[in-house]
Amino acid sequence: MLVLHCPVCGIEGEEADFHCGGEAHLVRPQSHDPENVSDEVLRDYLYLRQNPRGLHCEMWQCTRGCGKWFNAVRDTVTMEFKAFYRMDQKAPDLANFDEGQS
Amino acid sequence: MSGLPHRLPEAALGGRAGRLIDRSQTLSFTFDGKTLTGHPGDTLASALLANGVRVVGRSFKYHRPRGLIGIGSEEPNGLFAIGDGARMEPNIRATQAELYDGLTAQSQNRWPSLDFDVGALNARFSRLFPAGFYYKTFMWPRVFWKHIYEPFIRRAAGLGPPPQDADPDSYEQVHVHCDVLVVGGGVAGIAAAKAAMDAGARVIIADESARFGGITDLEGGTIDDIDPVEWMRATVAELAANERVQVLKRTTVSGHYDHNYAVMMERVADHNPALIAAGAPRHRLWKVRAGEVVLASGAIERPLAFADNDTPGIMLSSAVRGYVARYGVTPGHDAVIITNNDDAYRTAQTLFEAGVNVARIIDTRPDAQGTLVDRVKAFGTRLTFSSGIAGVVREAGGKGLRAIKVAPLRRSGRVGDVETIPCDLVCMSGGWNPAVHLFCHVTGKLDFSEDLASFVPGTTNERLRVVGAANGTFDLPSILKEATAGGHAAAKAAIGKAGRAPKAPTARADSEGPMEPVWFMPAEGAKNEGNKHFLDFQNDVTAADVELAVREGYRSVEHVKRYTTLGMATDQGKTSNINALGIVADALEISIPQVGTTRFRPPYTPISFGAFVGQKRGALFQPIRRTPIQSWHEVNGADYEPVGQWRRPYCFPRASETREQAVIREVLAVRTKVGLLDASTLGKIEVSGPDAGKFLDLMYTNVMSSLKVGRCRYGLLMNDQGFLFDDGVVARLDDDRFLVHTTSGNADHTAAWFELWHQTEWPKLNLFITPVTEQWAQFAIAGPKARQVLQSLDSDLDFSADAFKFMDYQAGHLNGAPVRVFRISFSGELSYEVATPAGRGLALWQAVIDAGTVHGLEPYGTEALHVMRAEKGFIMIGDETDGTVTPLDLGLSWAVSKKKADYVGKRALQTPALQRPDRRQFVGIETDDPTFVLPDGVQAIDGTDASAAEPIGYVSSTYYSPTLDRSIAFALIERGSERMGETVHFPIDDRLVAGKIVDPVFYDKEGERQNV
Amino acid sequence: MSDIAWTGPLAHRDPAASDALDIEIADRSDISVLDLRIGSKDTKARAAASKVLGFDLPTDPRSSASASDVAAYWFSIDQWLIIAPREGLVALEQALAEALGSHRHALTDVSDMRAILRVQGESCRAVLSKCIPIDMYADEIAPGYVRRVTLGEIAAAMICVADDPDVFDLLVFRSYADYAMTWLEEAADAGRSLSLFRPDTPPAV
Repeated sequence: MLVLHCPVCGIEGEEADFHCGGEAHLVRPQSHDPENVSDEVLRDYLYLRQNPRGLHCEMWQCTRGCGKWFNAVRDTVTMEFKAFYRMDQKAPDLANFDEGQS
Repeated sequence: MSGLPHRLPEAALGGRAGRLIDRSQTLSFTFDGKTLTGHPGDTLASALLANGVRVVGRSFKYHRPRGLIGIGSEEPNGLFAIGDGARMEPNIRATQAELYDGLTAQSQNRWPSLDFDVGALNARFSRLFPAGFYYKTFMWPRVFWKHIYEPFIRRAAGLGPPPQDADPDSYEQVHVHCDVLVVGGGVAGIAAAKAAMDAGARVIIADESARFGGITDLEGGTIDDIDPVEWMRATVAELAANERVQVLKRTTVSGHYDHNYAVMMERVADHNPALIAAGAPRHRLWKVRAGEVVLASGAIERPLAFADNDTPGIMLSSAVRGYVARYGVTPGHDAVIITNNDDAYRTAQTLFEAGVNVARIIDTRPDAQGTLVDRVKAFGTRLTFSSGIAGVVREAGGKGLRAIKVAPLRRSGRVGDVETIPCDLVCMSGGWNPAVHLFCHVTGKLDFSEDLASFVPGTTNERLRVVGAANGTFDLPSILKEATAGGHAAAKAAIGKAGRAPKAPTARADSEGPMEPVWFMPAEGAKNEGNKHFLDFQNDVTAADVELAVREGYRSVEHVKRYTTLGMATDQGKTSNINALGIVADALEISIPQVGTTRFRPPYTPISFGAFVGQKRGALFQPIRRTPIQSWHEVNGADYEPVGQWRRPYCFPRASETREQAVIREVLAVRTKVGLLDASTLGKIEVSGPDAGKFLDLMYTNVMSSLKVGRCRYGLLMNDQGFLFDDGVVARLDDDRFLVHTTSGNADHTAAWFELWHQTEWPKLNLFITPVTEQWAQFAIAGPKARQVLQSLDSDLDFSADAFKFMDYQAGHLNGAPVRVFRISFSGELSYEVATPAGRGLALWQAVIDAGTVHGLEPYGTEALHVMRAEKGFIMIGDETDGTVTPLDLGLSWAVSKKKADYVGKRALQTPALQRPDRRQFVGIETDDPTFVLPDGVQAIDGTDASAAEPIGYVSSTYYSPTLDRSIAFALIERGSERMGETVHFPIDDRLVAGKIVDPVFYDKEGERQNV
Repeated sequence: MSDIAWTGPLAHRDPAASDALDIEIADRSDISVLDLRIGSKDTKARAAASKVLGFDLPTDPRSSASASDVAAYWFSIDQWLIIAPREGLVALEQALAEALGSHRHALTDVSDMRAILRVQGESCRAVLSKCIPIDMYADEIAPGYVRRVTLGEIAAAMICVADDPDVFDLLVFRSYADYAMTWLEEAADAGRSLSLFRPDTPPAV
């Protein structure tokens, strides 16, 4: 049972008080250019996900706090959360990730 | 054997024998029906030993007689079913069961009795039951599996009997947070908790036993110049008196999880059934979130592997010492000590001082020095070095021992000259294993200590530190230093500041010399193969079994474990794992750290199902929801169906009606007069703001922004994969205010869905989403007389046909109660849904009932509703949808906008897979036999050869239609829309039922009735 | 003129005998509740609402503010629950709607959406530790604190009304009131009192 910190309202809570929404920073192709989305691009957006061993950017909702969605960087091996950041903040560079940032 | 009593006189051990028992009181208990006595403070184990009981059970596979070997939770043999009837709990370790007056205990895994057990025949055929026999026998012939092998295995499997009746006791779970969780109430845990407390931390300290203090009371020495027991007593009193410290006894920390979450099981009332009568829960599960964890779980003594080492009367040396000192009990009168380390000399000293004859001390090492050994030498006992036990002379039936055979340990592995020593008690010590289990539950990695010949904690990613024997630190002064520093550091890490590190208490203790690991003692004759050298006492796994596994190619320790079942019993290998690793390492000719350990998993000791369930049983098994009208349903005989967490009326059967008859009556009542349905469970969400319409256009397949104020529109929600997941009516309350209805099951999901898209994809849209499902009670008034019923109430609303058209919305009052009225219809009849604030729902419902009586109004339930919508060809989410069905499959293309540039699911609908013409499509089915109602979900085939055909679809909804007096059904059939009038078949058991594909609208095809 | 009476969410239920419980539990659902939404950066709209209320809308997460018998509770960075006596609802709603008229906002009467259960007594925090997984002994849980939580298996909100002795208001959705009450009554049962972070008799050594 993990512990999360919501970067929107500052609450610290149990995993059960949040809801995980899967991979973060997905770009919905139809939102930008609905007429020019190929089947392959759509397929990747709908079904293809990273499954890294290591750092993973993912979406979480503060369901028992402020109700807002935010993003987090979690190490899928050690289960540590390395960062929590708001939806409007930039995605961290995982290749050069340093806990000091964000 | 000698006929002497096992309970030592009060004067023994300098007046200190049995410091935990109260000799002035006597308790009586039964063991396998026989009445025995003990004292308050006894455990069932100490009381049995005091009564001279040696055989406490029969082993799992071979049914060999077994005795107690330990004194704590490591005990593998002394498992009993304790208690009567519904309160009986099997597999309880006698060493942890506190004695109370009237306790009843039954031994396990034996028939007809412990003394004469037919299962012992297994032992004669033991060569047929080596390791892995489960995988090699019971395979052939296949026909025997179900009726012969399985019943046999079921009867033979398991240890204790399960209770037969419902558990009458209650259980609970508690959540608690602390800065520092200290696991273990021995001297290390006590010192760490004190240091953390003094640093200002909030501390929880828990020990699995009813007493604190661990094993320090048996180790001698002093702390701050006083008896260690006195020091611990005073310190524990300080802890208990402090408001920021929670001291928990009888509480096992059973698991450590991510982010310092721990689960603890407290045995609240097992030791005193009177507490349950007073209302206490039997067990309590603690769910702890700790800032830092200090693990002070101590160490467990290792048995030694020699032939017939499972004979009753062969026990762990420190356990014997504990029985003498704590309970004033000696398990035997002529003892032999066999050891590879100095600690066993403490047992020798205790036995001497208690007046028990120590016939010999056998030390596997060439020599032993130091104060512990010198004290024992002064008693004049004979010591034999460089030797081991080569065999045991057992009593008839193996129920005890008469003598042991000692022989020098030769490098050749063969036995030398054997000497026989008469005895009835063997105290064995193979060394000590730090109890590292919790350290390894998350990310802890172990190191191997050559000095201890065991594993010690290495690195971990968790905020957890280990102190004391659990960390391989065994001498008292070092333990106190380590624990005090550890407790202080934990507090500091948890709360950020802690003041100066305190000075540890001073201590004096006897020093101990080095130990020498011995994994296998050679035996006489055939027994040297090792098939009577027991490693796992509970699962009957021997050294020979482990070597067999290695010979058969199982080289990974995880495979050896599963092939032999070593370490898989209820004791989880506490006294067997490391000894087995020694055997595996020797067999593979590698080192023990190269073999490694199997994965440690919670729970450390068994947790009752009751504790896992906690409060969630009976009325609290799941949250059951009540509508504002629920109490009316209850009084008026509703028959319910579960709809998620709601209990909605399925129908309202009258006196002698069946469900089916009630449903027929209700359908006809609605179609011919008027009915009233509680629709409060449907989801309601207000979407408001200048961009509300734009947002709903992105969510729905329809165009919602064009909806006029005061009008309703039926809408469909797809996910972005193009599959339909919800439907419902959207009403426009105002220019900037929409009210969305959802199905009952999707109320919360749809609100969350809207929030997800608004927050993560279109955050710039100007709107708010306010769920209001529970603010409104809502009911449907449906039928030809619906208008008349509403007009008979006192209202500012005009219900006449021109003023209130089909799909209109209006707000006003009924009998003074504020209402929102939606003229929408799921039944196909003239219908109004009336919403009023939930608190007024019950009274308004009653008012409608009263006003409707003269018009023949009847309440109706969900089934009548479902029948009527099916008669009208309306789909239902969850019946016609299953997560793979698109709106086009359901013939709802009229609701799917082609004008909007983008909305959720639009692009997916255009992919080839969702455009295929052979997709399963929504149709009606009329069976050739109108009296036959197709079962829900049956598959459809083309042709009449059920064995060869592939299914082409299935039945998604099916009813008897009172309106049409025949059966009707919906189905999803490949190319269904092109096949109107064709016949398909439904294989049902050994029949083939024929049905025609028809238009799913069975009744009132023009939709005139809802328009009146 | 209205013969449509208001029924509380627990009207169907017999209350537990008061001496059977360690704490008092009372139904305080007969009250006005407004759900107010204002954009998290919209200081002007907040000021307009604050003027009507007579105090500043609380912007610190999990805090509250009040004046006379009207209170506002922070539920999110853009959401408050305004709680006031039943009689004042219409006037308050109207005044707020007027003041907020030109600003982006949502104002919804949700007076009947929740049941409000008030628990009080010395043992509140221990009892609630059997109901809610958060740290009931945290320093931040002081009068004025409001937090959305899980109670048993349902969503709830907890308001710390007073301490010494503790008084908490628990808000649950109306349909779950019966379940919440059953859970609370079992947790508060005097026969299963739990001593948490109190001086205790030490175990034997």
